[in-house]
Amino acid sequence: MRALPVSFAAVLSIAVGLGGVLWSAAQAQSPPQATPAPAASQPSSGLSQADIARMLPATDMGASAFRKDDPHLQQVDDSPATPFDAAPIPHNPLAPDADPVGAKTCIACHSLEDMHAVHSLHVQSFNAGAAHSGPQAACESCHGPGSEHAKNPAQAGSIIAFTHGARTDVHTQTAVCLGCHAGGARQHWLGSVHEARGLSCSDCHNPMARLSPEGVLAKPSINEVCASCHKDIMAKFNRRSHMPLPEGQMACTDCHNPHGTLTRPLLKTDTVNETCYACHAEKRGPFLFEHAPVRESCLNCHDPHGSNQQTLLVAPLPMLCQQCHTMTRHPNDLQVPTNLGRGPNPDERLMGRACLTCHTNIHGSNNPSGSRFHK
Amino acid sequence: MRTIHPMSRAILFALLAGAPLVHASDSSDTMRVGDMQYGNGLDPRGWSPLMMPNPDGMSWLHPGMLRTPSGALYPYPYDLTGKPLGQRGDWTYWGLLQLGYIHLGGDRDAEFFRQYTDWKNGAALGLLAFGFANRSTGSYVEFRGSRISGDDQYYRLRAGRYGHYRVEAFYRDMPHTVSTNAFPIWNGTGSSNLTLPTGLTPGGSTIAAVQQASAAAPRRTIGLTRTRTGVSLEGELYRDWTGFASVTSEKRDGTRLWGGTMFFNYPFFTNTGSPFGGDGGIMETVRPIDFTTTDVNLGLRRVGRLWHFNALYTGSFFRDHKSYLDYQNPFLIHNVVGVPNVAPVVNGEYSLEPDNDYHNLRLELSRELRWRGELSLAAAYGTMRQDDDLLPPVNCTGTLGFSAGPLQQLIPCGLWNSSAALSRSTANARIDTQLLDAKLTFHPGRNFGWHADLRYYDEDNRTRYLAYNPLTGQYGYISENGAQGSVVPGETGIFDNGYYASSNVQIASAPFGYRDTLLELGADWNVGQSDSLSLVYTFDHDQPRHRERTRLDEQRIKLSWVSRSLGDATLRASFEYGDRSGGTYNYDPYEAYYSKSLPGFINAGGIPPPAFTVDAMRKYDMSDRKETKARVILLYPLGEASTVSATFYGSRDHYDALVGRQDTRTTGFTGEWDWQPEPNTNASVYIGAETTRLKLANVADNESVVGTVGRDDPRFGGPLYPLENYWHNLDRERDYNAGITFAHDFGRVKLDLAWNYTQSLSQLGFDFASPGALTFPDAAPLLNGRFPDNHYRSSTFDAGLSFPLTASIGVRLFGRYQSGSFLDWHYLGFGDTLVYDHRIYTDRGPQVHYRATLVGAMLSIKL
Amino acid sequence: MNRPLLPLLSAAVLGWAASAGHAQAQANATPAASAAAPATASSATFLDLRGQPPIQGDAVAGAGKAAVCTACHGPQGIAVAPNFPNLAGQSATYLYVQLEQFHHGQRKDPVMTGQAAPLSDTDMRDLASHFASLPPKPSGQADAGSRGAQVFLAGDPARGIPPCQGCHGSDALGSRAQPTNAPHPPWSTIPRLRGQSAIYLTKRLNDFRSQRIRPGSSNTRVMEGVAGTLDDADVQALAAYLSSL
Repeated sequence: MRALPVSFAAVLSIAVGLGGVLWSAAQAQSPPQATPAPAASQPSSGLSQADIARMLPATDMGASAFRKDDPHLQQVDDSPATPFDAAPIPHNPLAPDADPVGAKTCIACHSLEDMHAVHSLHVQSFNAGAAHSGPQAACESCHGPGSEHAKNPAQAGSIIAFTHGARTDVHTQTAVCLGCHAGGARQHWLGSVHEARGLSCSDCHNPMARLSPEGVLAKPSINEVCASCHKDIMAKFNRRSHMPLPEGQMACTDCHNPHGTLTRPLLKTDTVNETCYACHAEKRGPFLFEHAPVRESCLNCHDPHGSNQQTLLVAPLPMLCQQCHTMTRHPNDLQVPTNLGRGPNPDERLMGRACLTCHTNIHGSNNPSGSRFHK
Repeated sequence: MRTIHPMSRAILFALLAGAPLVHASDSSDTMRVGDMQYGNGLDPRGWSPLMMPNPDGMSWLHPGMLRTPSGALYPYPYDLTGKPLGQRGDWTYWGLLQLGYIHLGGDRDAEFFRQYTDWKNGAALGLLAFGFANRSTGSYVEFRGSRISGDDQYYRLRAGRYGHYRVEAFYRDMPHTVSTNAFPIWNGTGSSNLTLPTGLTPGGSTIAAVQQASAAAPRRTIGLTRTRTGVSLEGELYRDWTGFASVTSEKRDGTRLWGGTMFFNYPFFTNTGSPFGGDGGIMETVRPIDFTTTDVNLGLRRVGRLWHFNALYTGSFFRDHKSYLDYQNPFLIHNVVGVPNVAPVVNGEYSLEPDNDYHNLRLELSRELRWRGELSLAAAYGTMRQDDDLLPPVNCTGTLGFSAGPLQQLIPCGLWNSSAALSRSTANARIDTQLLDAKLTFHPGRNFGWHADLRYYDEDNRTRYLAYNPLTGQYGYISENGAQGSVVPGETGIFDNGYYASSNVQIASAPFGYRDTLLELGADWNVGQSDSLSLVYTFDHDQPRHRERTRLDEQRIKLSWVSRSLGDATLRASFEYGDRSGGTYNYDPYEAYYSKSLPGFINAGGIPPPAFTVDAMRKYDMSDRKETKARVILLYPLGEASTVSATFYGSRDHYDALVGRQDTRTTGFTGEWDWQPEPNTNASVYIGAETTRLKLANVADNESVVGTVGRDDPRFGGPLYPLENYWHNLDRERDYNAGITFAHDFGRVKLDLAWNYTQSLSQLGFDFASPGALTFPDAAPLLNGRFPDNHYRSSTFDAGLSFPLTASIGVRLFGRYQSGSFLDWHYLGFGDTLVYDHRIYTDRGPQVHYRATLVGAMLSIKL
Repeated sequence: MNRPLLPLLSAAVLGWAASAGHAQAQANATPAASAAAPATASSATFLDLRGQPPIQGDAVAGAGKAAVCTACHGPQGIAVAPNFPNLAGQSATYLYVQLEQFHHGQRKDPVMTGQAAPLSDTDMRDLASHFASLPPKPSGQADAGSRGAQVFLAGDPARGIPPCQGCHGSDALGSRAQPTNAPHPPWSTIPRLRGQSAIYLTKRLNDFRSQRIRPGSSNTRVMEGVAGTLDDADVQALAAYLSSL
């Protein structure tokens, strides 16, 4: 059956989405019913501080209290807000007595950093929040209160740092990021292999500049980020058969979620095969006649990262098949070079597609005569 | 299930998700499979023209760039300063248009040159990228697009408001060239019906005629294009509930190489003197690819202070617009009895992949606990289903087969060529999956933590198909469209209580599935400030269904060490040992699916049918296995501006199998040096080497026993599988990789150079106890124990010069020289002929040597 | 045949590249030296001090070359008039890079531009070392509760003023930060402010505020950001506090 014209679906979906946006924008214009009337100095209103407090992520650590305690900071109760207004200022265990000083103070010295950071999605979003609620959001929402650092920047650990040699331990670093980014794609960060290996978010991400088209990455592309540790895997994509990573059509994260998943290889789906089926949906079937190792795991025969054989196979045909098939008669003969096209005894079990010339529907056949994948 | 149109359902979901957008935090891209990368062969990053480092660097306060916690340098930041949009207001924008011309030279059709890039002479859009951002509201619009050709392009739009919502839409064409060296003889390639050209007689062509047709066939390219379109929405629905919805549609269009089977040719490939050659028929055909897949992803999550909830629905609806491939067979097929067949076998057929529907719903819930702990629960239910109409067992008409005395092997097509010949007319195939996962993590102190994880996965194949023809009362099927039954007495594929009472054929589908339970216990310690150790024990209990073992148990232990105590270096090392064993290995668990198990089965001549396989066979997914793996990843900051990274890795797998896969080994190394002394200069060098080997053993059966006593003896060393027919294969592969990049901005002109080299060598060796292991024992003296070495070599040199014409217009001149060589013995001889008696091949294989060049000029305009 | 050769070759390339990288890294550590050679006053670009290491010079030789300087800066480095800075006990590297900026035109002054023009690199190092070796002006009586002290020591977060002491030291004698492997500010290029004249400090801060120093140095950029947060009263308060230290 033919699906709806894609263009129509796309247009309709965009229209629906934009409609939702406009509707929500209109909602934002009218005062919410549940909250008290906004202060006179705040003519329009969205979320109240009480709402924001409820929205605060799990690792707030009570940081929002900083504002109330610090006379220098502008109070933000009932101001219109983006969620970033509510970004908490994390506690820095290495500078427990530090107070927030506000982004403007930071930028006084770090003016060039600021220039680059505003190109990054991360800081842009904070700036949008700060536009309403004062300068305290932004720098210190990640780096912790800055007063100790401002007084003695050479004091290691005086702010939460995310770079090489930082005194801040990796757990504190990741806790800061997860303070806002917990859940969702990072639901399984705890216990994931990258967490266990002591990786920090900033090993892969750099929110301080826009280095990548998306994803606030630490390198210009996803694949380059992954290759900083997994160069051997990237090198396999240079082999004869590979998926189109080097050609820019795919990224490691098309299949893997580096933030942790329910599988050991960090696959996004329940099993290896479901990841493969996401693009190779025709292999999903189920077929009338299944080939057991195919249904069990695509990796039984294919190496998704690249291979020197055709179609990502892990061994040359027909040896790949002969690892399991010794059925009587034709599968179990030793194939030798004299059976090649130029040899005295050309043999279809070795030449060209070898076994697959006849057992073509090797991923499963939906034909009533296809029990041997001939049909 | 398919009564609701998938697309309308998708739109309905999008409606539900899109309506009440209010606020959102971050995105869910890494939860969904696919479409994370937009790039192409011209610029794999889809971003490179925008990588113009700001000469001032990152900070006024310190030189150079800081490093990641592990020690890799962050690149110097790029100049992406936005310009104000209009006189007032908070909007700024940036943009770049890169447009130019590409010209190709040399072997531009070489398969490996254009495998995933549709290079064409002509105008190309290098990159169109722009962004608008509102600094006070956080609203933004971003676009990236590039076009090499109509089959190789992408356009992607993102818009939204930080913290509120995001809308995304994309269109992309991704080419995949499978072969540029194909010579199919059939008319109608790309369709469901392959017909022979004039000059060939279906089921009765001379070899000379087939050879002539093959020689006359025009060269064609086999390949396909994936056209993907998608929209997605993500936003906060209510308070801290975030939702997303995405709909993606993919059209896959093109061709792939395929097969065609009309029984063996190798036993009959002797010079009979007949112009029609030997017997059987082996065809490499071309199949159509005409797929549409619609994917729907819906997500809902709530991230609270303590509770994190995540729900994810994935729906995928695959439609194959060509459900079969019919092909005409040129070869004359005759029976071994020596009487004329009643009719030639003319037509072959394949069922292509059925339409299918897939749903998966996953619910995840986690709660933070004291001691930096977390309890995380996940449950998923998935189902994949298809109920396509089944094709009839054959598509022939009239009668096939032969008649000779007691051998009345006539195949009445009319009783098998309609759906009335089936036990049911649709597939009614279904697999259900369930996943449960519970994980508990605690870090009671800074220096100690532990976790426990219990995972349960069940895959239940509910497809039950019985191969039974109610019209004839027979079980089984017609093998190879009647070809096998037209050649060999008794081997039509049918079982009945008459003529075919001794025919052991598959009569039902085997519903493979498994249940896997996995327990993981782990602990980690911080030893001092800079070292941490972790130990993880895993017990994996797998219960395959309808397989050689009903139980597989694997115990694994993994020791990891992360060290930052070696100067500035970060070292990550791991060692893993796994031991898999299991229940009794039953070399033939499939008896119930064969006619041997049916009442009325008669052992021919009183001898049971041949053993299913040798009893010593251990299939490698079911065998006992000992596995050792080790890996070291080192990142070492060298000076202020460079980094050395290295990986050492290896694995050793030993399979306890006399017959089957015995051993695999991999050992490898990569080393890289990255250097960025200043924003205007960077360079890198990398090398890599890997060796792998795979050893397998098998035993050729003694075919002279197949018709006599002892054929049912499965013993390794018995009459059917004698020790003297034992043989080994050893596949050894060596891979070398190297690359160099260099870029420097001289001020007036920027130069970038890159070289990437890869070389793979594969050697397949063999040994055998006696020539009995060979099909043609006479060939034994001609053998030296190895196949010709396969190799694949590719060298790509890229150079680019960029210089500004005005403040906002620049020119980029670039070139690529790619050379490669290739040898794969599968294709040996195919350059000379594609016809070998009753075999016709289509693909001559990738080019043995090629050199391709590409030059281009692009005009870059800053918008 | 080329199988064993290839890894060997690659290793050689890597080794060469690594040593080249190291050499380059070392060369890069002294950008001032390379910048000094080609630059002329007319085509001056800003002086990048971010990789500036502490300088070495011959203080005794410098004393012999300092005759002209003493006319304004005083024979003991204590200025003869408050519109001239005191040089005694100042960071040698700071003095050197200021002379360098005058010499190459990155910083302009009616008197100093001409005075620095004929100096060789050695002269500048020697002079800087000479003045750095002189005893600083004796301490005065500062009001620790003054507005200036507060800005210097704590800044003013409400207005985005960072505390000056972060770089100039809590006692205004410069940072005593220990060098680390990580990229860090060129501490030795940061001046000691203790006991400097209020008039001179006011002029300097106002020059930063109005971004008058062009093309200046990387440190100029930092100070422009900082001084931009100050108003006239802050400048006065700071100058008063520092001059009284």
